[in-house]
Amino acid sequence: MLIYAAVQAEAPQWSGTAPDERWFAAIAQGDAAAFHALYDCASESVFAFALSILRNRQDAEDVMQDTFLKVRAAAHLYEPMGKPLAWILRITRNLCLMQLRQRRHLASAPPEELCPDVGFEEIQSAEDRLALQSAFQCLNRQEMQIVMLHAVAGLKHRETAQLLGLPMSTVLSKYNRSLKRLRERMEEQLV
Amino acid sequence: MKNGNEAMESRLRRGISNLTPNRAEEIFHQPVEPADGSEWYLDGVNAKRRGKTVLRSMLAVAACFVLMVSGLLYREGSVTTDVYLDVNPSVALRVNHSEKVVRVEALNPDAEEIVLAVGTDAKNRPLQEAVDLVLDQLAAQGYLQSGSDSVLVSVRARRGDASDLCTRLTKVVHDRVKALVGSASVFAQQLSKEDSDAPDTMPGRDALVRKLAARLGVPESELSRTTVEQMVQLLRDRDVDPEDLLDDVLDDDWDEDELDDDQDDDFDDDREDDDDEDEVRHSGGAAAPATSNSLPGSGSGQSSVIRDDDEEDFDEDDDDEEDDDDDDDD
Repeated sequence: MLIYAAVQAEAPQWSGTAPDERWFAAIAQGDAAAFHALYDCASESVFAFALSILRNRQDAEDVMQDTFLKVRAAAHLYEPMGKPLAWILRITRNLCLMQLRQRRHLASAPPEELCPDVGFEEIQSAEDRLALQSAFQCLNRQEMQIVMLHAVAGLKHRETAQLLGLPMSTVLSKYNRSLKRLRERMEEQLV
Repeated sequence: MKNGNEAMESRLRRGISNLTPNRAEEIFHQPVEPADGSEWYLDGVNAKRRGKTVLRSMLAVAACFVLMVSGLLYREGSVTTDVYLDVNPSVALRVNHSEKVVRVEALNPDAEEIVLAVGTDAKNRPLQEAVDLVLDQLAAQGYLQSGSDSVLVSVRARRGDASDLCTRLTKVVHDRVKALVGSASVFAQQLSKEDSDAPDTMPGRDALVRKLAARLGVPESELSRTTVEQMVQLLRDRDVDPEDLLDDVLDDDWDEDELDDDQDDDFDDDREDDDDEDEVRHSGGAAAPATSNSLPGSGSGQSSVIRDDDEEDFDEDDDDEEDDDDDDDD
C-alpha cells in the first residue's frame, strides 16, 4: 500500500508583538496581511513618538498615517538589520521635523492654534488618563520622547540614544528621573 | 525603582493604546509612489539606494578610499583629538587618529608632578591605558578621594565629531576612578574648535568656568580658584542640574545593572550606513580604523538626521523648558 503524505509549506506568520523584518518584502509586494500585521505592532509606538514631539493629537495622527504610507513606499528598500521598529521611527522623526518646520510658518497664527492639544477623554482608566496628562504637564519634549520610546515603543535605552543622538547615560538618567517625577505628580493628584 | 517604573509604563502604554486610531485599512488603500532611496524622509534611515544615488554613493566611497590611502602617509604623530582631565590638577592628553597618545602635558603646577610620575609610559599607548595611568597617579597623590572629588573630562576633536569618544571615555574614567577609590563622579563635555588651547590655559576647566559663570551670573574671576568638585557643588546648591551645562554625567546614582540589562547584542551601531557615511564625511576620508587596543565600543559616530533650523529650534525648545528637578537627588 502506498501511503501518500502531503507536505504543507509553512504559511507566513502575519502576527506578533514586534515587527518582523520579513514583512517588509511582502508589504512591498502589496500584501495586505503583512501590512496590517506591521500596523498592529507598530502604530502605537509611532503614534506615541509623534505625540511626544508634536504634542498635538491631530498632527501626531497625521504623521502616524504618513509614516505608514512612507513605509509602504519604501518597504522594498528596507535593509534587514534586526531593527525594523527603529527604521520606522526614524521616518517618523523626519516627518515630525518637517511638521515643525511647517508650524513655524504659522508663527503669526493665533496662539490657540499652536497650543498642545491632546484629548484624554477616550482613555478609559482614570489612572491611565492621569499618567498621560502628567507626562504632558511635567516633561519637556526631550524627556517625553525618551519616556515614550522606552515605555511604549519598547526600545532599549541604547536604541533610544542612537535615535535621538544622545549619550546613553543621559537617556538612562533622564528616563529614571522623568518616571520618578511622574509618580510624584500622580501621588499629589490622587491625594 | 523598577516596580514603580513598570506600573507607570503600563499606564502610559494603555493610555496611548486608547488614543491610537486604527487607520490600517485607509492607509493600505491609498496609492503610493515607490521610493528610490533619495527621499528626504529617508535621511538617516538605513535603506538601499537605487539608480543614480547608488552610483553617487559608490563614487563617494571610492573617493574616500583614495583619500584614506593618502591620509595614511600623513597621520602618525599628528594630533587629532585633545583630551583634558581636570580634578584640580589639569592634564592634557594629545591623541592621534588611532586613539594613541602622542604626548601628555601638565596644564597647571599641580599637574606637573602627575605628568612627571607618568613619564613616558603613556606615549604611544592606547588612550584608555594612558588615561588609567594618569588616574592612578591622581589617586596615588591624593587628588582623588572617595565621595569628595569629581573629574571633568573634556574632549575636543580637531576634525569631526567627538561625541562618541566623549561618551566612551566618560565610562572608562568612571570605572577606573570607582575601582581606585570606591566611588566616582565624572562630568564630561565636548569642546569646540574655538575653545582656546593657548599656553597657560586649561581649556576643559575654563570652558566649565565660563558656562558656570554665565549660568549663575557671577564673574569668572570668582570661580578661578575653585575645583571641579566645588563648581559642581555650587550648581547643586543653586538647584541647577549639571547635565544642563555638560554633555554627560556619570555618578554613583547611575544604575549599572539597568545598563547591563539594556544591552542588546543584536544592536550593532557599526553597521548602520548613515553612521559610516557620517564618519567618512566628517573625517574627510581619513576615518580612524578600529584596533584591538581602541576604547571599547569604538566605531562609527552618530547617525545623520535631518539637520536644519527646525532641528535646532526643536532642541532649543528642550533647553528653554524648565526642568522641574527639585526633588532630584543627583
